[in-house]
Amino acid sequence: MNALSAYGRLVWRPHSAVQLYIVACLVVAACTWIGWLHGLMGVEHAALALRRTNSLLWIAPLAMGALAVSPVRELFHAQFTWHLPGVRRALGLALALIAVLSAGLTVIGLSLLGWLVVPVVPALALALAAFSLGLIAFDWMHPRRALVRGALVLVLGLLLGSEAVWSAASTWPVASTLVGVCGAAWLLPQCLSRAALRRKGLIRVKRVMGLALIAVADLENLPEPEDRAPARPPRLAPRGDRPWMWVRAAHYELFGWSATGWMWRVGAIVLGVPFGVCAVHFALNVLETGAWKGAVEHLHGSLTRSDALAGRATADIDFVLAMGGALFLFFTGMIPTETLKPARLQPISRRQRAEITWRLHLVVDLGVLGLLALGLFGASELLALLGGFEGRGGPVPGWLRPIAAMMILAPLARCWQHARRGRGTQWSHAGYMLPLVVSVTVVALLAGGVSELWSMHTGRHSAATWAVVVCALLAATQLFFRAYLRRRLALGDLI
Amino acid sequence: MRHVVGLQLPGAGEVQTLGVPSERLGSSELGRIGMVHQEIELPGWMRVERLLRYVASYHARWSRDREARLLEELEIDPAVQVGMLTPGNLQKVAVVLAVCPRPELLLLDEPVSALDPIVRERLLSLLIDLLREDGSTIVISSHVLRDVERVVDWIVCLERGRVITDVAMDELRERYVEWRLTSTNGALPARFDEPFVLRQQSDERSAWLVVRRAGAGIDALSFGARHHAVVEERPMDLERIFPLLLDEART
Repeated sequence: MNALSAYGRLVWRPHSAVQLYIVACLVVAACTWIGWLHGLMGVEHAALALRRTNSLLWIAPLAMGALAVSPVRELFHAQFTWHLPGVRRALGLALALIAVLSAGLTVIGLSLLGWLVVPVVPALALALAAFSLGLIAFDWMHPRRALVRGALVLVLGLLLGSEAVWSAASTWPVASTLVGVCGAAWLLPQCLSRAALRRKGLIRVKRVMGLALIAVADLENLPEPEDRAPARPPRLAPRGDRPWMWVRAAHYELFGWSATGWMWRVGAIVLGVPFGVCAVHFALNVLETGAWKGAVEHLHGSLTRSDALAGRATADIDFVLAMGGALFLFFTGMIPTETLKPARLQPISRRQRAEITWRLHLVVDLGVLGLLALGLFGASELLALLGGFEGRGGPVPGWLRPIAAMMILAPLARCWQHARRGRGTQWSHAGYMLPLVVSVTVVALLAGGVSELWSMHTGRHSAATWAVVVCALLAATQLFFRAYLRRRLALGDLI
Repeated sequence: MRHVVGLQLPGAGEVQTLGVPSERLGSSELGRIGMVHQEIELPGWMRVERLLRYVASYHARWSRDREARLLEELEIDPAVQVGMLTPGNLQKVAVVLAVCPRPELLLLDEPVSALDPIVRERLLSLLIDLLREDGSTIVISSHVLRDVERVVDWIVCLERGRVITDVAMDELRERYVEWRLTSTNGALPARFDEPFVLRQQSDERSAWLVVRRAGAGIDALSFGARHHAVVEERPMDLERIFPLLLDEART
């Protein structure tokens, strides 16, 4: 009872409702997709469709595990938690109850829908193990550990997606039950260990949720501008002279002394999402077709958007790229517009401040999206090399379209986010999360749409025409953003 | 202090708290220890009331009476969100969380650094009252020596991580005193060479000395008689004693 009341006090807040809303959306989307898959594949591919649906058996509990542990982990690293007697036992018990509940509901749900191809008991045990994996998989305190565990989740996920594992679970139900239960019993205490409590630092829940969409980046360690002692920016030029120096100053205020560290971190987020999905995509195709070369060609076709090869995957990759870009926009959109310290430290005019801010955002956009382009170009070339075939992309490489779309839309998204956020407003968690979800979705859809339109028309127009159109749109949105910043900073209260 | 509660593990040696090695402190021992950390990290989204209920749910000995009294006396609004509290109020909330479970050992790491002098005094008086009620031990780590010297009865001074003094406060007060000499007959010596005189400042008619009274034969009356002066003895506060301790440790 104590366990449940303590856990309940951690969970009961508007933020949890938003989290649940996101999970519910994901579940509905997954079920819709699965239903579509069943209809599409028909009777002849029923086994394949069923196997795909069984991935829900580990994905749903894994997501629930990650969700259930997030409010606990938020406080787990706070020093005062160390002094709460029996905290590990109480919260562990609560998590165990939720594990049983969510695993049970998943199995019952799949069973009622007739999608379960494994006996109920081993399915329950495997779902429990997946829940426990979710508890430890996304530890934001330690990005390296998160990376290792993320890779572990990926590998286990691929294993659980394979035919062999499910047939083994059906053939040896007792053994697979034992494996599942032992896995759960081993994993559950890991997230509640004394060592976990000894770690220092408290992550704010909104950051956890912001980071819940990515698992690889060390964004948490980006220095907060207000944490840094006020100091004169490096090699600051005289007032009004050489604006690039002022951009350096703004960069210093935001990111500290490291010139490129932030770019790699943000780049890791943006690259991590498409590459993670590409890896899964690739592996699934290998598992389905059993042919490595075919899978490589398939993925290369997706990236270069060769219609003969791409098939259904093209849309997936585009969407994923758009999601990566949208995430990037969200995180960079969080950079405050008023980047420089007040006038006593850097006495510049409001107009200069707007100019510097605009240039800084432009540098950030170019840097990160450049990284993304470079990464995808590299991946595309590597796949061509692995597959031993020539790239068969159209006049414009497929990966370039969403990136260009992002670059065009970035200033508009920032304006929208600024307008949503307001200045100096203390956001409630719900008020913070909703724009996150909405902005990422809207920008992803917009980018996907622009990219799709582009791909529809590339056959009719030359690459040069498209380059001119893109440049014109880029200039238009950038000029709009600069005008917006000027107006905003001219009228805003900067004190 | 983190070593004492087992939050950090020693690289060498051993820390025993409540008779148990600190790395093996269990729920029962941790429930008997209260601590206010220097860097206070509390969940900003919770309201004070909810935070109190959350923490109370883990403590069997949580005192609701004490909680109400402290909230009232420290003027904390329980309806306020923790994230909206000022540093001073945050410190007060942390003290309430540490004190309400009636700990046997209360560790306070810079507990009054963010408070104004009036609240500091009130809080420290409250802590003394609680100490009397519970008979618990309070360990205070502080750089604001003037405040803590009124409430402590044992002093441990650290210099670069090493203990340089571990002594009762009364003994320390008796050991170091200040003498003000006023000449009754002629000029005072330009310099006093007695080994127990640690610091001095003088002119022809008066002198100010800091004296270490260790051993027999050091008393103000005989010293005054020897130098034809009236000696007024004054106690020293901890802030002025501390540099002397450092000097002694270095020599």
